[in-house]
Amino acid sequence: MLQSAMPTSGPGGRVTALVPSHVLSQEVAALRPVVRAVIACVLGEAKSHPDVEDGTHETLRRALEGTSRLREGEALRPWLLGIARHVALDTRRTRKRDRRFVGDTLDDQGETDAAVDRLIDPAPSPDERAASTQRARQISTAMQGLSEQQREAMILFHVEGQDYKQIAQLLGVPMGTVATWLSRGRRALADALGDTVKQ
Amino acid sequence: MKTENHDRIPESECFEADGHVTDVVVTCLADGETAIIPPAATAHVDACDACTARLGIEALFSVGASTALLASATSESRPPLPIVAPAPIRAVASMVPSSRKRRPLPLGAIAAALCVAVVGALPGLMGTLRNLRVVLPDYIHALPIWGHAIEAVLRGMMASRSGAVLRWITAAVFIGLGTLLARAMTRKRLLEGDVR
Repeated sequence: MLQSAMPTSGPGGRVTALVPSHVLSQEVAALRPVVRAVIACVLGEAKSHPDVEDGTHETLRRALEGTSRLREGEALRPWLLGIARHVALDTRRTRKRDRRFVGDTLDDQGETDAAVDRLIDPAPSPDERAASTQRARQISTAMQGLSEQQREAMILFHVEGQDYKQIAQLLGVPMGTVATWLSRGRRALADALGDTVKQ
Repeated sequence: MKTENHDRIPESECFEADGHVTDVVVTCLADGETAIIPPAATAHVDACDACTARLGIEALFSVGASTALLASATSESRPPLPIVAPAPIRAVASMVPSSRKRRPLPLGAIAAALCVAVVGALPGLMGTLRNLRVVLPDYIHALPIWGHAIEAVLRGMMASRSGAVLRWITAAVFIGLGTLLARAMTRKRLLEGDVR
């Protein structure tokens, strides 16, 4: 059977080699719960909502059709979640348009949307790019506010792409502690960068 | 500190008293560490709307942190990019003569080009000279118009400056009309001459 070769993710989620497409398809399918969770979160709906289901299908379809655009060394997971974010955003915009059309507006919807927009689209806007020095300073300050081990865990996971087990071994702590450090570190970083989300 | 390197998070750390999964589980799932989570915890998140929402938020935090830290790491490790104008601007800028570096005039090329132009224009010049006898009277007829135009310009210069621009434009129009008239008459004369 002839199969096309595609990049797949290795340790740390980085795409490391070219493998048959069905392997990547399996990896993409394994991320379905997280994709659905992201879309449900962005849309503010239960996971069983038809829009969430549609968005999940659309995300996986786009991912499977566009795997050739995944560069070697690029992590599959953020790439896929990025697609999920865009799909959910498209749905939100369509909803907003429809709401405006029927004149049904919610009082705090604008603020909530803005807050979620900031979180779900972490890529810097043109203005933010211009102020990249300030942003880098904010990131640095936030990272300095973490303990040394927390900071190290953040770097090892988010920059170097190591998995929990490797980080736990390197830092000599349980994997649960790694998870806690990462979670707190991200929130500190998000606070410093002004990224918020409705809880 | 107690070192624990089991392959999975202990189940006791996976569930809160209220039955929902702990933040550790949500973080692990958000980071794709499904292998270290007990199946029961994964199944709960899959079935629970509240935990799914938490998972979505944590996943977005994770992606956001990766983006920010990778961008920061890249900008730190890379020297600042030199400010380079885009290619079209550079192309245009290269055509603008610089006062600092002036190239010598290509005199040889200019002379050669002039020679070629003269040789190319010779037949036309010969024809013009042959027709000068016919053309000249028409230009002479047009002279009064040119005279009026020059007079108008001079008056405009001597008058107040308020209407100077208008007078200049009028004079230019007169000159243009005079030239056109002269050429038209010449052409007509030539045609009549041919007929004759």
